[in-house]
Amino acid sequence: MTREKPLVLIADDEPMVADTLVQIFNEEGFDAVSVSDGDAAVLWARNSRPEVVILDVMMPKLNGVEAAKQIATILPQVHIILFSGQAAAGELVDKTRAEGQQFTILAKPVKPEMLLQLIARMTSR
Amino acid sequence: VPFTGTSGRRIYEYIFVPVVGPNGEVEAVAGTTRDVTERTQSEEALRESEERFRVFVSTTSEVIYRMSPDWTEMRQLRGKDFIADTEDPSRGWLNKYIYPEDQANVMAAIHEAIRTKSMFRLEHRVLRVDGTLGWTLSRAIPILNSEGDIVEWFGAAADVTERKRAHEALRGSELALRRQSEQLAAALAASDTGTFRWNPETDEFHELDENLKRLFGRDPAAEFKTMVDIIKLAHPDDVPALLAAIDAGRSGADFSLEFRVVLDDGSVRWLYGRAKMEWENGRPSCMVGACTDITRRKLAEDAAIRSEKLAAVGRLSATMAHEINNPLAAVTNLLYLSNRDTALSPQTRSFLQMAGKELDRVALVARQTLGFSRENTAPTLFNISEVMDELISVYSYRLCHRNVEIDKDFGDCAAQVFGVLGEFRQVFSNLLVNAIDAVADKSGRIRVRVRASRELSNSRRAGVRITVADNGCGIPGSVKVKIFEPFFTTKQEHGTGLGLWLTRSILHKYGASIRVRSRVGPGPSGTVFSVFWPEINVDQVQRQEIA
Repeated sequence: MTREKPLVLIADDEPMVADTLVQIFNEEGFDAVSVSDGDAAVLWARNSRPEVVILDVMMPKLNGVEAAKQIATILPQVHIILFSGQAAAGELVDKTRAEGQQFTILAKPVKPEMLLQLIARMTSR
Repeated sequence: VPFTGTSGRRIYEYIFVPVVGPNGEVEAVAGTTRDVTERTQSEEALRESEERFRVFVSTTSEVIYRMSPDWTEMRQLRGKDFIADTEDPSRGWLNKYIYPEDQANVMAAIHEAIRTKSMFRLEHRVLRVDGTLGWTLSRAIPILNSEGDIVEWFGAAADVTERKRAHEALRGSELALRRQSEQLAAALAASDTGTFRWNPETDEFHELDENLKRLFGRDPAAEFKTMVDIIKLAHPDDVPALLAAIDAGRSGADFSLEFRVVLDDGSVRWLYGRAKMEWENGRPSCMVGACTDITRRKLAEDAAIRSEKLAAVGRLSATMAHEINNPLAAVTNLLYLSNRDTALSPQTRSFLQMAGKELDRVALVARQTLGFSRENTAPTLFNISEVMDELISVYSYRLCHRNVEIDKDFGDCAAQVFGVLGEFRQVFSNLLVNAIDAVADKSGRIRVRVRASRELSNSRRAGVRITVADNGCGIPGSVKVKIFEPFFTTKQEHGTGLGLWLTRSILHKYGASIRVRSRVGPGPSGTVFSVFWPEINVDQVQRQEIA
C-alpha cells in the first residue's frame, strides 16, 4: 500500500497536546490522526498501518510502553517514538531496553522542529 | 657436784672405786672425775624444754611440736584435734602431716632456717585428723646450746584454715568484682556510654568519667564541676527539656531524656541520658546516671523520615512534572503553529520568538527541578563547557538574588566526555549549590574553571579538570574529613547530608576523582573542589551500566 502522505498516529490523553500535534503534522506534509489511550493506539495501528507512531507513556488503559511493544510486534517496520512529562517514564523504557526492545524516548515538552527532524531521519533510512 | 672455779660454775662427776687388795681389804680408793657440765646442762635443757612444752600445750590452742636439730625426726607433737598427735619420736612426719604439693616448700623453708639458725615460718597445707586438708601457719625457733649449735626446734602451728578460706573467698569475690567492673568499663566504652554522680544539693559532680567527657566532645582532662558545665554544651533547643528533666529528678523522678550536644566542629551528637536519684533521710543525696551516644540510631531514624519525605517529594514532583510538562508541550506546539502564520506582523513574530525563548527556560527549569534528569539514562558524549554553562544558567536567579558573582573560565576547552548527562549535572549542581551556600553571608565570588588536563596521581590519564572555587567561609579540618560521609550535613534541616556522598559515588562510577582544599578565616577563606573526569573507554561504561 502506497500513500501520498506518510501516516502518523499520535496517542496522548492530553487533548491539547494530541490536537496541536495532529495539526502540526498535517501542515508539515503528513497525514496525522490522534487517539487518547494505549488500547485505541494498538487498534488504530493494526487497522491503518501508520509509518510513524508517537505515544505518550502515561496513558489510561494500556500505557505507552506496552502499546509500543504490541504495535512493534504487529508492524515490525513502524517507527515508534515515546514521549513523557514524567521521570518515571524513563524507568519503564529502561525495562523494555532490558527486554531487548529499543524505543526512542523524548522528554516533554518536545520542540516540533526536533520531532520533525527525527521523523525525517527515521523515515529516510 | 657443782663446783665454782675460775671458769665459772662447772659440774663434775666423781666416780670412786675401792681398790681391793689380794686379801680382800680395801687398799685404796681410786677416783676419776670428769667435767659433766655440758651433759647436765643439755639434760636440764631438755627437761626444761619438755617442761615448757607441757606448759605451752596446756596454755595455747596451737599445735605444739619439737623437732630434732636437722628436722629428720619429730620428737613430739600435740595436734589439738587439728592434726594427729605424735607421742614418740618419728621420722615419717613429713608424709604424715604435710600435703604432698607443699612438701618441697616446707623442706626449703626448713633448710633455710637451719642454715641461718633462725626462725622457721611458713603457711602451708596440712592433712587434718579427719583426712581433709587444712591450712596452718607454722613457726619454729631453734634451741641453741652454749656453743651455738642447734639442739632442738620448738614449734607452734596455728590452724588458719578458716581465715585462709575467708581470705580466698574474699580474693575470689574481689577478683569477680574487678572482672565485673572491667567488663562494665568495656561495655560502657563499647556502647559509647559515660557515667556520672551528681550531688543535687551542692550542684557538684562527684564523678564524671572520661567516656562521658568524650561524649560531650571534651578531652579527659576537661573539668566538669556543676550541671551548668553540661547545660552549656547542650543544643540550645534542648536546654529547656534538660532543665525540666533535672528538676523532675531533684524531686524524685527518674531522669530519662534524649538530647543533643553541639560539638566544636558544629556537628550535633545525640545522647540518651538516664539517671536515678538516691535518697538519704528523706532528702535527695546523689543522682547516679549514664549517657549513651544514640547519634547513629537518630540518624537512621532521621534518614528513614527523610527518605519518606524524599519519596513523598518524588511522588509530588512526578505529579507536578506531568501537570507542568503537558501544558508546556501544548504551548510549545501552539507557538509553533502560530509561527507558521505568514500573515504575522514582524513585531508579533518577534513576540512569539521571545515567548518561545522564555518557554525554553521554563522547560529547562522544570526538567532540572522536577526530576526528568533521567530523560536520558544511556551514557552519551557531551561537551562539558556547554553543560556547565546550562547548569549555571539554572542557578542564575539564585546567584543574582544572593548577590554572588560568578566567573566562568572555560578557556577554549571543547572537551567531550562520556557519561549520563543527569549524573554529571547532579555532581556539579551539588558543588555549585554548596558554593552558593558557602558565600551566602558575604558578597561572594564563585569561579568555575574547565580545562583539558591530566590526572594528578597518574599523569598518563588524560581528561578534563573542572574546578568550582568559592571565597566563602571555608571548611574546618574536623568537618572536612566527614563531608563525604552519608547523612553528614552542616546545613541543619536544609541539608539531606547526601549531596557530596552522592557526588563522590557518581564520580567513582566514572573513575573520576574529587579533591577538596579549604581555608577558614581569619584572613582570606574559601573552598576549592576539583574534579578530574577522565576520558573513558566507551565499552567499559556500557558494561558497567548493564551490570
